[in-house]
Amino acid sequence: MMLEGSAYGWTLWVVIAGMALVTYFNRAGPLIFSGRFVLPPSWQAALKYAPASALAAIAIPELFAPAGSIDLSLGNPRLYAGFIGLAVAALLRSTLGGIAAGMLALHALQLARQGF
Amino acid sequence: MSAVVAGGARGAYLAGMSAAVPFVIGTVPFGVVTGIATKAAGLTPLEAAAMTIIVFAGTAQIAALPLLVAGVPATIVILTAFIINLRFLIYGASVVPYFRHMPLRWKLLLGYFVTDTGFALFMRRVADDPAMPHRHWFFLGAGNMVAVIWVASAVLGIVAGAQVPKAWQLEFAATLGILALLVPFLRDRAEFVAAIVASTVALAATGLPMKLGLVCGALAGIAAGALAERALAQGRR
Repeated sequence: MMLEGSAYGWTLWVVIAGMALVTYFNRAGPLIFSGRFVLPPSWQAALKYAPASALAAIAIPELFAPAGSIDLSLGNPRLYAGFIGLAVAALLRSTLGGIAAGMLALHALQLARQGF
Repeated sequence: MSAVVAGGARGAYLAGMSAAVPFVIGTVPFGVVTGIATKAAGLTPLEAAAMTIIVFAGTAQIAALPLLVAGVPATIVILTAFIINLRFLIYGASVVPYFRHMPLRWKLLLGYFVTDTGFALFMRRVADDPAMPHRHWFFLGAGNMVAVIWVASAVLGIVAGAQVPKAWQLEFAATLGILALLVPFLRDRAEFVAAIVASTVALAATGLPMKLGLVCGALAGIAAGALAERALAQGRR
């Protein structure tokens, strides 16, 4: 039986397998090699900052430069919608609230620009 | 607590499952959003479900989506997932003392279930009761509950996402989800410095091929966070 794949083709399965592999290595590695492999305390302290750093490094360029170059104009609604979403998520302490506010802001800004 | 003593392995497993329930309920909306965003990124429902189950790491999955949409090479997407999930290395290292003497097959199994929620629950439980018997069963029970609810809520999102027109631009929900995930980190000063440095470097380096700016940004952020932590500790002394 042939299942219709997405436009990503086999690359997507490479990504899925690779992500699964590196994630499992991070999770299970210390257990599997327990005793033989000890993470130096200074590394352990620094690794604490990996999630926030990677998340910021992904999301912020998505807002400021969605097309590859920095665009601060009103023609880039994702910039403003993103910061509105971030502010709402922080104020309401709600992930879902932030996402909803950001999506609403995105569409409101796009409609406003179309002269609606 | 008494269930653990009474029921042995089975009791510990069920205690782990029930201890996880209040926490996993909080992750349901995020699971649904991840499912919707994965579908919106152009994956088929089968691909989206496979990614959710095989990778089993929501933050990395939602972070990979904008990169996939932008056509970033597979190696960079995988490297990004690795950096985001470096925190699991800390979790894994923290539970080693409790499972060091377990047979390898248990270590291989428990390793898959090292998650934010499962780790936090387990560490709290063993802090209360360091000599807890059958604690590997407790860990497995909590981990299984996290996995079942996570996958179920993501599948719900994938099914819902298939009904949504493309004009809604729901793939942007992934970026907004990442921003919302950042919020609790930003309340800590050193984490805030890490995030600011990471995003500034990533933005300054957007011109680099293969989105390498993202990797540079993440590494700069890690270094900045560690330095800021040291500076803040010295300032307090």
